[in-house]
Amino acid sequence: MPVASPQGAWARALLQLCLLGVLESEGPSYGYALLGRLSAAGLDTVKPATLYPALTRLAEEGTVEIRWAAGESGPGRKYYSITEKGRSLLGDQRRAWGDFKTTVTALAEGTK
Amino acid sequence: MMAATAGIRWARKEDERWAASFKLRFVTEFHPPTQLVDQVLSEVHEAVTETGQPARDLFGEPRAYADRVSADRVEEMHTQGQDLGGATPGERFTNALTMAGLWALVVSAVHWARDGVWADVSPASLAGIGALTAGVVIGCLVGALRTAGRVQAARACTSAAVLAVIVGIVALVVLPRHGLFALPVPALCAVSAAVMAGAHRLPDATADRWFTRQSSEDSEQWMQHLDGLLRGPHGIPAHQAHDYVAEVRSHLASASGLTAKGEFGDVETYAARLAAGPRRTERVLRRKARLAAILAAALAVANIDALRSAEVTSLWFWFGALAAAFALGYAALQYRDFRHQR
Repeated sequence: MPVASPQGAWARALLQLCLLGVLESEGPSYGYALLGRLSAAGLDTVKPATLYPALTRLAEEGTVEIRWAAGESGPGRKYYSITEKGRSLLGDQRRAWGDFKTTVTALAEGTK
Repeated sequence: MMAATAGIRWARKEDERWAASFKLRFVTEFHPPTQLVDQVLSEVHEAVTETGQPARDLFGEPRAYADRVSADRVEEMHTQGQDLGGATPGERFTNALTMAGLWALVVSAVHWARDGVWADVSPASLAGIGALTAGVVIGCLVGALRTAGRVQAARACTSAAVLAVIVGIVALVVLPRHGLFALPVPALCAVSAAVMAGAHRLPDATADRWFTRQSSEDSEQWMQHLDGLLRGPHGIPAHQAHDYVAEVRSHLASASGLTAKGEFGDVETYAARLAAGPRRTERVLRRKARLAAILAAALAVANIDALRSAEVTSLWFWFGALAAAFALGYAALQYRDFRHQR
């Protein structure tokens, strides 16, 4: 039986961290553009059905805020921008992820 | 001790109380799968045993921990198809019909005991009670349709039920009361009992199929269905549900050839994912507070005559007063919980 790639599960687990990172470094953005940005960076396993609920959760937690703006054509676009609370959470999660990555790398490479 | 904690021996009484409080909150508010309740309590027990510290020090307040575990670990697969009270459309319908049958049985039995075996049927009672019965039966559909995400149909049924009740009351007051024929009250009891038993025995899955809509390939219908699911079973306010639908529409407009089902998958799963955020707890508590307030108002109205008589020597007065006070107190507690959560 073929073994499923673990990248989808990793991407889902770390999606909020990635989204906060992109929104902090690149400014406000909307769902479709964020999906393209993640895909361009290599996270092409993230689908709209996962992305938008993750953004909704961030908004409910107060780490991003929402603003509707007119689209180039057709319906308006829902822009997400990071809040102060989001920046603080991002800082914490970056540190936690750094520690976790070091531990996992050491264990996976047999150096710990 | 409660069932899930029965297999676990807590060394400290305070941990046992913590586990019971956690389970009460987790099960009654979030309706998780049984194995998840057992699993979380086993994890807590293991941590408590290994560290020697009380559960409260390790995991915080049991109610807050239940909220956190619900947000993190109750899968959307479990909550999809259920409303905030943990019921499916079929369960809503069969429960409502069972209660309606029970109520009719009690009313018929009281009539039998008080006025004898035969009941005179007049034009007023025939039209009035017929319309009231129709109102109750239509009312039984409301919760099921709402839980199935058919918000407009639920609204239409609510209007029809209210109209039928008004027509029934008007008919009882206005129409002539001369006897047309006599009806054996035991037959009414038997019909009521049959309705109650039939509704109770009807499999929920069968009733679910009557109300649940199939997921559509058409994007407009898919989005309509999403709006209904968010506002109905998930209790999301209309303006916010419209916002989520507008976002789907905006996404589909970003490139040609995209379909809602192709991009977002099964509509019930997507609705459950959107609704699974931290505000779900707030919506669950708001729903409970509203239901408690409705119950308090209904009890007060039902006992209005006894309460207005102010006859302190009457058993009915005290029954009405206690029931209304209890319901009001319960509603106040639920509202406080909701405010605290917000």
